[in-house]
Amino acid sequence: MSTATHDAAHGHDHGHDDHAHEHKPYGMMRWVGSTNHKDIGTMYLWFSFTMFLVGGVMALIIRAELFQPGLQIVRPEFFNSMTTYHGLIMVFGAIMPAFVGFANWLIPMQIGAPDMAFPRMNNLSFWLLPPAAMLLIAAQFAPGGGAGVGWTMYAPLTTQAGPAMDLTIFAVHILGMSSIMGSINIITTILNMRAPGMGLMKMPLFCWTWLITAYLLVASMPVLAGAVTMTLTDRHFGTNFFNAAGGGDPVLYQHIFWFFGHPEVYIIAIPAFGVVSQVIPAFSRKPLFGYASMVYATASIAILSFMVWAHHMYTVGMPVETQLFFMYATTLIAIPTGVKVFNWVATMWKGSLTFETPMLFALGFLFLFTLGGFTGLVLSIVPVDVQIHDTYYVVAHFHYVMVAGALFSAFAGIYFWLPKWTGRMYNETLGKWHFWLSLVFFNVTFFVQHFLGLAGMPRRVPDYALQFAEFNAISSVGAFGFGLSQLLFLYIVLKCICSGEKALDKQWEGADSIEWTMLPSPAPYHSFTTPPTIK
Amino acid sequence: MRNKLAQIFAALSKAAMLLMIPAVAFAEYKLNLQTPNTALGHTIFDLHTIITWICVVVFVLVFGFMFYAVYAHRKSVGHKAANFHEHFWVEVAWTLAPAIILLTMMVPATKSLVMLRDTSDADLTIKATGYQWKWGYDYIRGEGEGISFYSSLSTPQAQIQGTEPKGEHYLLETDTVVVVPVGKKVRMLVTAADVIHAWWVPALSVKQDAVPGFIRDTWFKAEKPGIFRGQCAELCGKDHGFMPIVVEVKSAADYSAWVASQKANMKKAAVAEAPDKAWTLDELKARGEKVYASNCVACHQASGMGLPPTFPALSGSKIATGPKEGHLAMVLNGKAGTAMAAFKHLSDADIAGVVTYERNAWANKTGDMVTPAEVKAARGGGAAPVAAAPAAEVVAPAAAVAAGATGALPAAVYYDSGKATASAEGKTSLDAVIAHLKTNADAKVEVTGYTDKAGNLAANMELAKQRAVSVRDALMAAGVAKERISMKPPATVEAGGDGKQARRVDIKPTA
Repeated sequence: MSTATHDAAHGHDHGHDDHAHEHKPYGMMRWVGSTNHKDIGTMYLWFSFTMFLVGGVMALIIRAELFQPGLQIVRPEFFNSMTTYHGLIMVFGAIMPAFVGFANWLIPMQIGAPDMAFPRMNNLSFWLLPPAAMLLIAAQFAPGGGAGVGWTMYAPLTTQAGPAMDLTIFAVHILGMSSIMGSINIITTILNMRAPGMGLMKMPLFCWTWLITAYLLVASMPVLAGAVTMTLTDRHFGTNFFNAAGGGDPVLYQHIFWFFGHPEVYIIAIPAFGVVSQVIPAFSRKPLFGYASMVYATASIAILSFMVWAHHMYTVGMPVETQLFFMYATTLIAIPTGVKVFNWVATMWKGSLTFETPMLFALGFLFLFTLGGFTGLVLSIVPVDVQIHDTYYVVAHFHYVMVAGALFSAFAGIYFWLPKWTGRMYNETLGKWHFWLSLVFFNVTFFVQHFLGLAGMPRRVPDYALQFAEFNAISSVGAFGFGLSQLLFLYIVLKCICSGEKALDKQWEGADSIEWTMLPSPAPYHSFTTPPTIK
Repeated sequence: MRNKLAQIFAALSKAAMLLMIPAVAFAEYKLNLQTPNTALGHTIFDLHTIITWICVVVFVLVFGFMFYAVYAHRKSVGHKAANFHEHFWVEVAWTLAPAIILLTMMVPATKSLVMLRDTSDADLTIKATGYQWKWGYDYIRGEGEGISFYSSLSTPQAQIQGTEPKGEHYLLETDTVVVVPVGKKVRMLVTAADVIHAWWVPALSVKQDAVPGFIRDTWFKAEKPGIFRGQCAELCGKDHGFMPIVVEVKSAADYSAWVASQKANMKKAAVAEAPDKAWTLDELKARGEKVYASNCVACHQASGMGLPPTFPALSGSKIATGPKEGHLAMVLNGKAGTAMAAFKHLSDADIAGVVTYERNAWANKTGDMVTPAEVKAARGGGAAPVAAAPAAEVVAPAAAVAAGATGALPAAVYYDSGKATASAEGKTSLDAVIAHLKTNADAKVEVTGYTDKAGNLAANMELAKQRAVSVRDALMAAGVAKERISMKPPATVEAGGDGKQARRVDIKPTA
């Protein structure tokens, strides 16, 4: 079965085993019309990094305004717009596309396929992203400025917003379409195009995490599209889904949004788990501990993620029984997440550890993501959450999970696979500098925000009372340090591509997935033109 | 025991902070939740401390193992990798252990959650309504019932913009404060008029979203008197960061004194704003300027230029210089689908003032005046759509005029809201009655003034009586003998409809 699909998918290439004869178009058209998983993966990653810088600049505008109490730099409505688009751009423009980029690059190479199952759809799902990004950026210049409604776009505030809201809604639609197409492609590729002998339970864990993530995306993105479409019709076509005066319910929006929103958290986190599950065993020179339990834990997290959405809404006034249910269900997630953390530590236990940049970022991920997980546990307790909901404690919590979690894992993945992708090595010393600067500045920025939230500073405010001044100043300094450190990352990657030393085919001693053991560095344009045999 | 833990935790965190940033160690850093002022708050505070400590212990354990491996199992010290990759019982153990820890945590969490949501048996019930961007409070039940006021940020713009030094309670101070008695269970009903807000006072351990169209509740019982400050906790638009909450907890005696003074103030205000008070243009403008400053200025700006296009300019606007009915309706009912909220919650005098002010401020020089009585009349339309509201006021239905013109009794003389002189339509029917009485020299009539039960009943009755008297005077002035007119006591009609039936004087042939 898999052989047949495999042959059909690269029919025109049959017989061109010699990689010197790769037919790739040159110039702009290579990228515009590309159906190659590596080119598309590269575009995803560069797009993601560009959005990361755009969202980062917005974050720095926020932190600059919050450096001192009082309004110094921006007006409140512009501040609200910055928090909104910082969130949207980082979630939908930076983190998600980054991991789709990884999926494109790695899944065919890790399962022994020549390319993705639907190369043309793959092209489309990438090229939907730039127009969506342009809509989000254009929203800033719409009459009245960007929509200052928060990335969660709660009704009925969205009904008041200006035309920027419509641009944002359409951007979300387009991003959703792109994600769904990408997910269908990933699911089909993994289920149908594995090399002979590559059983599901033999796949590298990264492929497993993406298979699960893709199902989450297919199930949750349409829900988000529904929520924003209802907002759109409430705004323009006289419907009253979220308008109490017309018989609707503003809280309904929150239920729909978070039914998407909580799985979304895991859409971001689960591929990050996958990357880390590749990196830690490689630098421990020891197989991943508890492969099967990792798969089951990931699947459990995915299923549970659909049953906990209302823990984002503990203060809307639900019946006490409902709150109890969501509190219990939420704390359950700690169990499979705990299993994963224990497995990673057990993988390192009695290994033969080295600490190259990818391993440093993976350990940074492990340490800080777990910290974010623990604050998540604190937040899951309803009476405690009532105190710290919508405060900077929550801001700190999700930045530990999203930045130290997803972003650090993405850095780990990029440093890990850069030699395979480019055939060249990055500068190890600079890589370590990037890690330590990111680690220190990240904590300076976000650790103090726990204290701000506990002491009572609400989130999404452009100005604050005087007792919050010191920690805000510290946080802002950290943010600028963190932001500038990322320019070092850009330099390291460019230097690696242009003038890095030649990388080995198996650059990392402990790496054992087939992209390292069976493919040269750089990997050929079409990964496996004949299916490899997996023992 | 628990408090001790909390202290140790605070001390440890402080020590960690001092190590991290010695240069700024002397400033005042708040590291933990605010000191609670309710019994429930203490429970929650301790719950947070315990859970945080459990997390810290597990964290230290897990990463103790990790850092030991990082230290001892390095390749650089010659450690050779083992090859184990699963262990059934270990995996079962570390699935079950967290499950047990979590179960233990759920016991106190469930208990305090049930306490948190028990709003029964309240001594005092207060409704808090979120508006963009201030809070409104109504004391619904208990001592102080009937007290009602708005509370907005009192920090001057100059402090926010940095042209003046910031005060001690920067952004956490309001013009009026919510006063509650100590040791009494206060139930807060929380709702909103426009978008979602959240009523949050950290030291009282209450945070409740204010959802427009729905009423949610929460409660607190303060242990000690004092002033407690909070903020709106749900993003509600431009000035989300500028709508604080201040709660003053007073002793029972002080609270009673406060209630008495509030009631006295309300009485004074009721007299000052009696519906038949004749307002001058300058009085209304002066009042309106104040109302504008606390309700409108955030969006439409002091200059009246707004922040287009979301917040349009009022200076020179078509609505503020057009027919006053349209302007009044806009202020009363808002405009669906825009940031313009309904301001029906303001008093008649406030709305009359602010509309009058807007029509005569900046570049607007209409010279118009909108009286509280006109506002009251416009409200009669209730939730009528914006355009329909003023219609009841101006249109004289052809049928009614025709009925008057036939001279047949009974006839109804209609009045404009709040006025004791007949409307144009009313004058027509009055003339018809006079003509009828002149031609039928022996006809006798009885005159009854009508009103409804909306608003101040005594004032309404008085107005109805005045109107009846004005009809009698008009008939007598036209030469109808006093003996032919019998005066009936004023009567009420049920509230509802367009209110027109409540603004009439009936003239019927005497039976």
